[in-house]
Amino acid sequence: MVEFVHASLLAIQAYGTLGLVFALAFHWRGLSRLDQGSRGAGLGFRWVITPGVVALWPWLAVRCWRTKQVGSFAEGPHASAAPGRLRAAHGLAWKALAVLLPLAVGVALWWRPIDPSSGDVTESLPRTAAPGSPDASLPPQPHQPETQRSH
Amino acid sequence: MSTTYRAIDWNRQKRRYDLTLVVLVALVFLSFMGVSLLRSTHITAETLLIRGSAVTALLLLHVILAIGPLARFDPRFLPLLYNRRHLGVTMFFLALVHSVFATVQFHALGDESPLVSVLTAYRQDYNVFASGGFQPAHFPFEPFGAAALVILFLMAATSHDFWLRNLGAGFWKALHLGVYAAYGLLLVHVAFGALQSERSPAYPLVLGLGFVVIAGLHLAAARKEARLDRAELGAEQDGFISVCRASEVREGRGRVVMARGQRVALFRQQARIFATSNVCRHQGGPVGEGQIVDGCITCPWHGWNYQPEDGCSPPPFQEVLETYNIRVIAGHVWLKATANPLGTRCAGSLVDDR
Amino acid sequence: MNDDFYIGYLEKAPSSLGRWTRRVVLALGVLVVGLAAMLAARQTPAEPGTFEFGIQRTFEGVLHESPLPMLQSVSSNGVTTHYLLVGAGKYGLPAFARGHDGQRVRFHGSLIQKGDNVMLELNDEKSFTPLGPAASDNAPGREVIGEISITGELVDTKCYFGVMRPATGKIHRACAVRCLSGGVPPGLLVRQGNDASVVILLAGLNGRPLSYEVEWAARRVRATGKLKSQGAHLVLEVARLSLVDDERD
Repeated sequence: MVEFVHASLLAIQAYGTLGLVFALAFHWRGLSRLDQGSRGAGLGFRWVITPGVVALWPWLAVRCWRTKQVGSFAEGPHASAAPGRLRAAHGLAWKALAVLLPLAVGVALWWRPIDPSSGDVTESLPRTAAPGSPDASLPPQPHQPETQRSH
Repeated sequence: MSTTYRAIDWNRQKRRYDLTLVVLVALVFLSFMGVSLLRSTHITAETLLIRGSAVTALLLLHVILAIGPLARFDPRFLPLLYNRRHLGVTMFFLALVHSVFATVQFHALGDESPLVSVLTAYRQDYNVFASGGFQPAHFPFEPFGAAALVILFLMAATSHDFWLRNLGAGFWKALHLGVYAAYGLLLVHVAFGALQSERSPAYPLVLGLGFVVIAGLHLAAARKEARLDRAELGAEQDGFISVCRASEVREGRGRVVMARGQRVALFRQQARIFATSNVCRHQGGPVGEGQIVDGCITCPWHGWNYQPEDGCSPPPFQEVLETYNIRVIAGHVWLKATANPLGTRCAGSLVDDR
Repeated sequence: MNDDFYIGYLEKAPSSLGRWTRRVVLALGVLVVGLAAMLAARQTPAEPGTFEFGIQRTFEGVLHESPLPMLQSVSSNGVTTHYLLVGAGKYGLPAFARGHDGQRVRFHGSLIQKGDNVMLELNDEKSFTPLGPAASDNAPGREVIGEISITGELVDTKCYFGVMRPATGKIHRACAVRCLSGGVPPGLLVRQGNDASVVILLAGLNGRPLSYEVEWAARRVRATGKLKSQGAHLVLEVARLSLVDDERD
């Protein structure tokens, strides 16, 4: 399992690195070609979209490849969003959460074990210290308190 | 609305919104830290940061999740909805602070790479039968938080309108429905993590109460919407369906009606009734719940404008809503159930209110 | 229904809507700030402990690598202290300090302390100086207390003695696993009634390192063996260690 996680993280790293390279190219040429709204847009806007470009670069790459010019709301939600279906998905999601979440949280609480440090000793221990008690003063130093600060 | 992208289009209202947000987040954080220090004098600064950011993020997520359904029930909540994405991005950053500090504190400087450790530190207990008998409470809680963070990141990274446009509203909306999954993952993260160590009944109580409120609001809103979608069709004649009385559409106001499974917005302007698609080109907002402002249909969510007669946004904007043909006969609005091609001009139908 | 219509890109909202929004936000603010304070107040208080992070002192004494790495140090007024030794980060005795069993050494380190339990973090390799073999009578003074069987939480002693506060339970579990896996000495934290608690250091039999599952960290385990005292520390030479079946809370 550890090896698998290592490999997955490496894969994600590689994906992100490719994304960074793509983002550079995208800011250089792709953005203005893909979306006319970006013409004249400032540096702030470019910073704001960059994390998304790195994360979703294959999607944008395909869009850049397929289209000369898109990015008008003329082909907006009505054509693609199917709001009825989104509303249905919303209702379904909350019905599912209403069942699953109480179940999951319930399992975590119902089977919550007692505090693992709860003691159980065959005979009494030689001594105990109250956790709330203040620290004992520093133990005597072997030599001079030749203190120095680092970091 | 603007024709060119900006990072954030500031105005007085948006500045106030963000200022309020920053102040409230700071107050919540400080209130948690202050009381923690009074209660637990030996607590370390890292622990305070990890816990403070988590509590603040979770409270903010509840606020974010409540705004949507509240605005469905009372449009006076719409001002909170307008810049809701700022809340989302802030919540992501709080979650990021929590994750980075927790990962460094608990996983760094050890014999395994920190991110690997997050997922594998006590991997035996992924098997809830590992130590004999059913012992689910030891299941690792960290992966749930990590998964939620990935979702929150994708949402924050794509919150700008650029993404709405370039991912397509369908994909964008579906991606942003992921917030419900993130919420679920976070509750599980807390239940299998913090609630295993912190045993005060206050925690499950607050978490449960929050869940009841949020789930209740969303289920009630979904019910309300479903009821509207199921509205019975009126009589039909020559492809026109009777949808409502003309008097139910007030001057300058909209009304949403159903026509063959689609929602259509009716508006009355200067004694004429017009019909357009109810789905705003921006985020799919309910146009019909808006008003006519300066002669334009105005979406209640983000104020996008369309001309009633042809559904086109006023120049230089290019967005277009479909129009529908309409007839007002004897005080009843009859609507042709099929939309016109984009940009088709309809004169509307004169209302004879006598 | 209220006819006030909100358009966010305008400079001003209708005044009645603005008033209502301010009231809602104020109520919401009071609610969330209050909730944050209440959640903070219900936390289990962290236990005391000291970690002199960034502060180095000079220590000198006899280094014992088994059963647990310790520095036996005698102060100028004749008081002997046994310091448990760990490395920087989530590691046990660093490599540069190994192989000096029974020798006098001097080094710079940072103090970690919880009550009578004292520990040093060896974080300055350059300062580590072997000073030759110790006098023969300088064996670690261990006193046998008796056979004992005891249940408690498996903790990593470095965090528990003061580096992290709090350092127990599931939230800290992954960290405890990392520390134990890196060689930090394991301890058994036992709380008995009246909020009294004790940490027993766990060691292997006959000076050998203890072999155990590090993933049992933060879980309830039962240890059986011979209990000894070494300076202010309690050390259990473990004959048997096992995970305890859960009892529900």
